Amino acid sequence: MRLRYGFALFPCPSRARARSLSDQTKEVLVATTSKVSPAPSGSRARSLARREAITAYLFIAPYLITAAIFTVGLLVYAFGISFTDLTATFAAANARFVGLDNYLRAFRDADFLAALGNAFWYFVIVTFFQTIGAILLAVLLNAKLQGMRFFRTLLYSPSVASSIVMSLIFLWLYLPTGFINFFLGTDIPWLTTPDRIFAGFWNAIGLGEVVPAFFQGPSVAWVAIMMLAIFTTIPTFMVMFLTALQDVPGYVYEAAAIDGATGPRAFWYITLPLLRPVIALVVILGTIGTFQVFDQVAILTKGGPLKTTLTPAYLIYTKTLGTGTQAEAGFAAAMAFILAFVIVGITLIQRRLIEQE
Amino acid sequence: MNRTRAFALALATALLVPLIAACGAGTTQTAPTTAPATGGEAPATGGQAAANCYGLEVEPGATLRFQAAGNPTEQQLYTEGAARFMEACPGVTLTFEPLNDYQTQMKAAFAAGTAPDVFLLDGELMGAFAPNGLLLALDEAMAAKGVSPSSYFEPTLTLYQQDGKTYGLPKDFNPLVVFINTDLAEAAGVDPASITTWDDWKEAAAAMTQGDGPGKQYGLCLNSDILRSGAFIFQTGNDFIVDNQAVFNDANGVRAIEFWKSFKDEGSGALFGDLGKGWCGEAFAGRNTAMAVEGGWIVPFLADPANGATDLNYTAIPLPIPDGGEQASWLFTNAFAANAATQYPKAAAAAVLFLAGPENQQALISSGLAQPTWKELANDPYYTDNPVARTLVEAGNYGRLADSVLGGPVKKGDVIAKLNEAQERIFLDTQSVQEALDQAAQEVNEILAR
Repeated sequence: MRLRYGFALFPCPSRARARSLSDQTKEVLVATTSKVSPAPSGSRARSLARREAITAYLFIAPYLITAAIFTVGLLVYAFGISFTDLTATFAAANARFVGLDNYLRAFRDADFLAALGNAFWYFVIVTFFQTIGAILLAVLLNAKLQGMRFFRTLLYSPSVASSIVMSLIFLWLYLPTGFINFFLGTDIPWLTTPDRIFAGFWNAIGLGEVVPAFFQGPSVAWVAIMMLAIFTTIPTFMVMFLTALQDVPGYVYEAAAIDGATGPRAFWYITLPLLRPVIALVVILGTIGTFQVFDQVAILTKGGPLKTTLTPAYLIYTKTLGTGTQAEAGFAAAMAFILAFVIVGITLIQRRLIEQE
Repeated sequence: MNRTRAFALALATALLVPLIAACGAGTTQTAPTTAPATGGEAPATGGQAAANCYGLEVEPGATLRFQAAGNPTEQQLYTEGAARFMEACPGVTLTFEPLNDYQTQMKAAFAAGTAPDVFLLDGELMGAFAPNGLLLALDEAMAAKGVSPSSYFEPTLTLYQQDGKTYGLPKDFNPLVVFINTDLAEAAGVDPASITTWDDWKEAAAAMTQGDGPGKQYGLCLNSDILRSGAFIFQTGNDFIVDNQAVFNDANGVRAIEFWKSFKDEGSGALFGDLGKGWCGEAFAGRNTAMAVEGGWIVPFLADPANGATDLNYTAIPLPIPDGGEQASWLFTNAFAANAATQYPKAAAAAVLFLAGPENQQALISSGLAQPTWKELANDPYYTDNPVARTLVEAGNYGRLADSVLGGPVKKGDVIAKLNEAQERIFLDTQSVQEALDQAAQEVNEILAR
């Protein structure tokens, strides 16, 4: 299974996913066109191959042109302004070149560092649970039972709804007077509770005052948003695992059974290793998506309470289009590139770890 | 085989053509004010020929684009305003184009060089645009028309002045007042007119608080924005910033914010967010709270059948004041302004003068949406017959503008952000009022020193 990963500079997880899909489509397209003809030999074959290549490029031209303008073009533009003090009015004539100032400032900016910290917790917790959850659900749905199609449809439905819709539904569920509190018999304002979840532990051993906020864990509000994200992303990844599971031939398990591996042992020694490439894909897509989390924050908390749900993507957005002196497009562009490098870095490390045999 | 290839080529071309065509269309669309000066009927004597437009000389045959954001009621007013202008100014065309996402679209339009000739200007964009020389100075046209700056409620105009020049004329204003659901007040035995002090107000809020659990009805809707609670600081006679130093954290400031927070602590008030509402108008319309501190913008909201409150009876009172305090409130205002890069500066200035002038403001009074900034219009008979509107328009005499008292239009955004962060800490009980305001004062002083 060969796949390419599109790295979106700007926060838009769904776009990143869409792009990698269109990459796949593109490959399929190229593959089909080149399969049509038999393979003649000599110079005739070469010229035929060239003509076919031209045809293929023409087919993908609409995609290439839009990508060149709206992805590469804007990327270059954003990279350029990240070295200037361009502000909200985009009065480009007034923007001055400031060198690496924006990048250096980002690493001293309390908001940006807090946002990276929040994004890190989000990445660790959401990626972990969504991957495990998706594998378990896929294994469950791979069982050959009556009515399985119905359950597959049912379980996939959270991923079909837009993230805005899901966020609004959870906004009401999380209200102090909402269903979750009704169910638990509590009246916790989930989305406005800034208390960090490990703070109790540090307080118990008397270090609550000295441990930096990051190590006190994500806030209750942030965990509430993580639950929403895990709930809505599991089905998408579940489908990927399900497809991979259905590709595993039955005789592999028969052979394993003869050697004495059944049940959990078969899952651990046969299924999981075979799923390794898909796990790599899911973890990497999950990483990109979690570091770019935006819509849930914009709808549910706007970065609050006390900036414990502020993410780099949301901070970049508010800095770009903020009000008054807050609107610093150059600084925001620099933060966007730092975020992109962080994502690329973590993704490369993950590939090393997962794909090494 | 050949046929396959021909088909592939045809398909690819078919796909490309609309794309290229779309690019072309895009280019023509983004050209700024493309319509040339037609001047078909006016004698073209070297462009000197002047048309009489609302008593001003303008470029003949000028075509102007006019952009503003607003709800359907406001859009209707803008369209009608443009039509009235074209009557007063024959030969000049003013086309209204509604915006959805005002700030984003305006910034993008100025960045792309596609900004309209005449547009709505808020205090924040004034701070962003004026220092960059993007706005047309209106003083010459005002002098020619004989418009005196003193015709406007003073604070609403000074917001749009910089370095002795006027870059925008305030089109209307709104103050903060207390809206009270009179049915709920009557049921609780509260007389809205008798609420004049902070103590009266707290008593009334407690009396109008009913029930428990999810269906609880609160007395007052709270908002942790400094553009609500800040008004109470002024009422104590205190200021926010004096001599470029934050003073909102002294005893009076602390007392004012503690008063606002006490509604929550005593259970007679709730933040709109905790009620699952987007703003206090929604909580008030849904009868989740009996009172809300808002401005005239709530009036059309309550009148819109979509919000389910057309049968809600209400009145408005000025913000109650502390013992020995003074009347104060926040004022909010927007202006009309012209683009410095317009092809028709004279016509654009005339349009701004007309749209923010008395003839056009007169027409907005009965909409209830906002109050006129043209002082004389406060004597309009509408205000004697309509007590809610009278409460609102009278606040023009004592209200203050955030842009003017929070460090000026350029720094205002940052100052408000720090004050709101402080209020968030207060409402989450992570800091006392004193601690939170002390921290904010330190942060604000750093901003002011920049």
